[in-house]
Amino acid sequence: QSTWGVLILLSLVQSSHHPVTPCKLKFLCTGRVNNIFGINNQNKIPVMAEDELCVQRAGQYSRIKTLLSLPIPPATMFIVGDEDSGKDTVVKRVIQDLQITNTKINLVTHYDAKLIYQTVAKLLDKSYSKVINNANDLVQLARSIQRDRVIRDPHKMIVIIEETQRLINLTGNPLMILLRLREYSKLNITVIFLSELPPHLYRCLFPPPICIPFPPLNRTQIDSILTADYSNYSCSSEFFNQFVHLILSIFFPVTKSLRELRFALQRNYSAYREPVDKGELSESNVSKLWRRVESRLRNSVQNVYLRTETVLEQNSVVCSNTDPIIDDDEPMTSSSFPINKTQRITRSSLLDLPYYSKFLLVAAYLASHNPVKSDKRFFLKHHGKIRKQKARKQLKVKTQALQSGPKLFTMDRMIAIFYHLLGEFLPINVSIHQQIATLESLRLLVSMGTDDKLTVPRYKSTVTLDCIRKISHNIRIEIDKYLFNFLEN
Amino acid sequence: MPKIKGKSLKTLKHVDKHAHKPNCNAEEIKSKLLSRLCDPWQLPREVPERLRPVYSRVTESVRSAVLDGENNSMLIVGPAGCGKSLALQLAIRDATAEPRVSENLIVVELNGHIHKDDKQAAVDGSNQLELQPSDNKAKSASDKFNMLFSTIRQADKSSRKAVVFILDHFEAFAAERRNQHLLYNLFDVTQSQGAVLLVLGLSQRLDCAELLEKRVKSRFTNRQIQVPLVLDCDAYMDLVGELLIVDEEIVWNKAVSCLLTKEKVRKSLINLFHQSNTNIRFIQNVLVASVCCLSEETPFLDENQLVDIIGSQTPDYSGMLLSNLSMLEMSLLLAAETLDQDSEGFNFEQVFRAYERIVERFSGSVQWFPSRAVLKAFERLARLRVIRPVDGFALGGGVRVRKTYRLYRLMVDTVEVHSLLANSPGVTTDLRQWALNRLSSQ
Repeated sequence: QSTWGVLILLSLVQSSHHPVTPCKLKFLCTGRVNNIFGINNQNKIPVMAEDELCVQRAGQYSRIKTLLSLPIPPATMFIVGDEDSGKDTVVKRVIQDLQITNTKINLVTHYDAKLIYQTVAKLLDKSYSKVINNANDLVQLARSIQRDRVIRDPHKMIVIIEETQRLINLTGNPLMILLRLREYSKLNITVIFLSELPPHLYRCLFPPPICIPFPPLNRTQIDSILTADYSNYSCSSEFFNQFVHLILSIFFPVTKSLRELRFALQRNYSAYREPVDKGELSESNVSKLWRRVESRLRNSVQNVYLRTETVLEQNSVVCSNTDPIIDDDEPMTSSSFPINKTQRITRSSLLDLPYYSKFLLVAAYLASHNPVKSDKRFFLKHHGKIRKQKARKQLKVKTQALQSGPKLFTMDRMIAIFYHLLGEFLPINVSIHQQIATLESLRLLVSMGTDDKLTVPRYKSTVTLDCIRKISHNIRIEIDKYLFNFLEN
Repeated sequence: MPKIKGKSLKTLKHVDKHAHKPNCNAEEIKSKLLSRLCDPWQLPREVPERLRPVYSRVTESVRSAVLDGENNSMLIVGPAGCGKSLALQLAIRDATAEPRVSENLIVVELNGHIHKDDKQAAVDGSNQLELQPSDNKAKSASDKFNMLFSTIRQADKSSRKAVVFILDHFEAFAAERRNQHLLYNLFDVTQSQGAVLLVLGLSQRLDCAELLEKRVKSRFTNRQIQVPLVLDCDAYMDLVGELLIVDEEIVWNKAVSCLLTKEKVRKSLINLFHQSNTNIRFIQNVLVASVCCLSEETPFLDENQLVDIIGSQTPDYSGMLLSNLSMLEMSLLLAAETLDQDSEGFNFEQVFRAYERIVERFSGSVQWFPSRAVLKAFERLARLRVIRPVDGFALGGGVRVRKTYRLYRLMVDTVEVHSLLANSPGVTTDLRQWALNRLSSQ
């Protein structure tokens, strides 16, 4: 399906003669491909929940509405709120109700100041043919428009800027130009900033915009918003209310994010509904339904935020477009696998390295995680006497090592350990340096330090213990014998 | 405005009598006030006291430039929002009120942040001066630049008009360029015989004259005028009153003066005064927000609403932020806080071990979650700017270091964390007691 989508997109791109910017591509994607494939956007809020959200934010809604319905609205407005607090929904609803010309600029697609100015220019004059490269061109355009129109033209225009926190890092300081857009362009433009960060974290917000904070939603509000879209699930509202209460009681201590809760609802609804559909239990038998679903819910809480998918669920309609996430390996002896046996794709199962590369990888891990002095003890046949460290000090050293991450090692140390692990001689056609380069390109080894050819290169291993265990099990090395942390002294 | 107690009581009674009479035309007052506060193109009729020195000097220079042909250059400095552009616009408006002056004056406005290149500035300058390109050779930008200045220099006496160059964000012309070509030429013309040129620079930096190159600085007459901000609390109150008073609306004005004497309103206004660094724009925002709620049913400003609006302009963002954290995130924050004594910062592994210790200690209140979910909650904390990575938010360290080993620091105060725990509703008693103990011991 996705390959067809890509082909169609490419043909569309080729057919247009103008250069395609990311925002245009995004428009093409969402516009055409959605219609063709009927892909539903998981994060899009269903309509009834939108209404409920506006109801919950009635105070902010009315304030924004009174401000925007003035003949000359305030020059800039700054709306602060966390990601799902409804600022986008409310602002768009107000603008829809008031029917004002507007344009939305999302700073993910408009990653450069030039793109921002171009979109604003399009708002001012759709048929402007010259290219806008910087703020100067934009101001010239605005001035030419102003000369043509009556000066106090009541025609209001609004520019909405989403994800304003990305403006902090942009070169050219478009934030300052946007804050003073009305002053420079001499037109009746209002700029509304939607931001997740509060204004004091921005370098210099001057002239200060009118701030409208969207405080986080509390539990009752989230409850009413979640229960509002029961019609999508084709069940009665009381049944859905009960389910929402259950979900909230389990998931609320972990996350207050609206989209995660909604995702959990979607995921677990069919399992909850199953006994009722089969006729085993009635709708109102909440305690028994709860008992059936409890263990599954508790397991899925442990996967909150992670959109992992099971093989069973891949075939179901409800969540048809999540990609499998490549998980880190789980410790092999743990029993924390969810009940419906997932065939999770773990990193070690993806790694299909040649035989000698696996040895190199294990050698790299050992070099990273063992202190240099212990090499003598592990890898030499006749090590000398080893003085015991005091138990407390040893424990401290071990925990420090665990927590501060992998350390740098030189390439020759790794090669020495590699030869020891191998135990035999390498055949002639095997090139170690080639394999090290492969490992580095796979980011299993990361090289730090200079690219200088005179110094020995230093590397760091980025693989987890569990992955290494699986690999070493594969090549029949007992990794525990070589690890410093597992020394039994 | 009279602030004597006896008189204000009388005005209170006066207002009460008139409150039900439809004398006060709310819509008209609203539109007048909004046009004063919101409309960027309407200038006040009188010059405010504070801006008088600047105003008079600029008017003087403009008139002498036009009438006597005197070249001059001046720098107007002052903190952001103190009224430099306003004073300048008022001065030019009043100077051009005279027909003799307006006929012989051209104003060119350049801005340091818009015209980032000297060439762009020159092109815009020549457009504003409406210079016709004499031949096709003047196509490239540097040619236009040269042509602009040669035209200015060579203007002959009979048709000579005075040109005023207003350079906004002057420090951007001086600091952010490769060379100060434009400034050099401008100041050179002011020192030479030919044209009549007045250069007025506006800047927020008090030391922007130091940014000039030696040769530019020598051509600049070191005239600087400083515009002060409103510094006094009483002056601030007066200013608020001035902003709200409408001519010939006695009832409204009395209501306003009565409102401003109330304790609650005074307190919150003083709060705003201190928080906003005495800048006027903040109070303008507040007044816009409150005035736009006026209607026939509520013809006067309500004190509670005003206090509310002032409060919403300066809310406690970190309190809002911290109250949005779930139980898991709060316990992570606690864990991070116990580790923060380490000067280099903490990474996720350390926080996870500390979190496991907390789970053991408060086993009833805090639930255990596997490290995958906890990592995502940790990243959410970073996104909310509760903790920050030591090497900055851009992806710099992300490629070299594994995510779980990246170092972070706390961005919120330990006192805030503990008081959040103590006051949050969903927290169990043992955690709350522990937080209170830590608070009291600090």
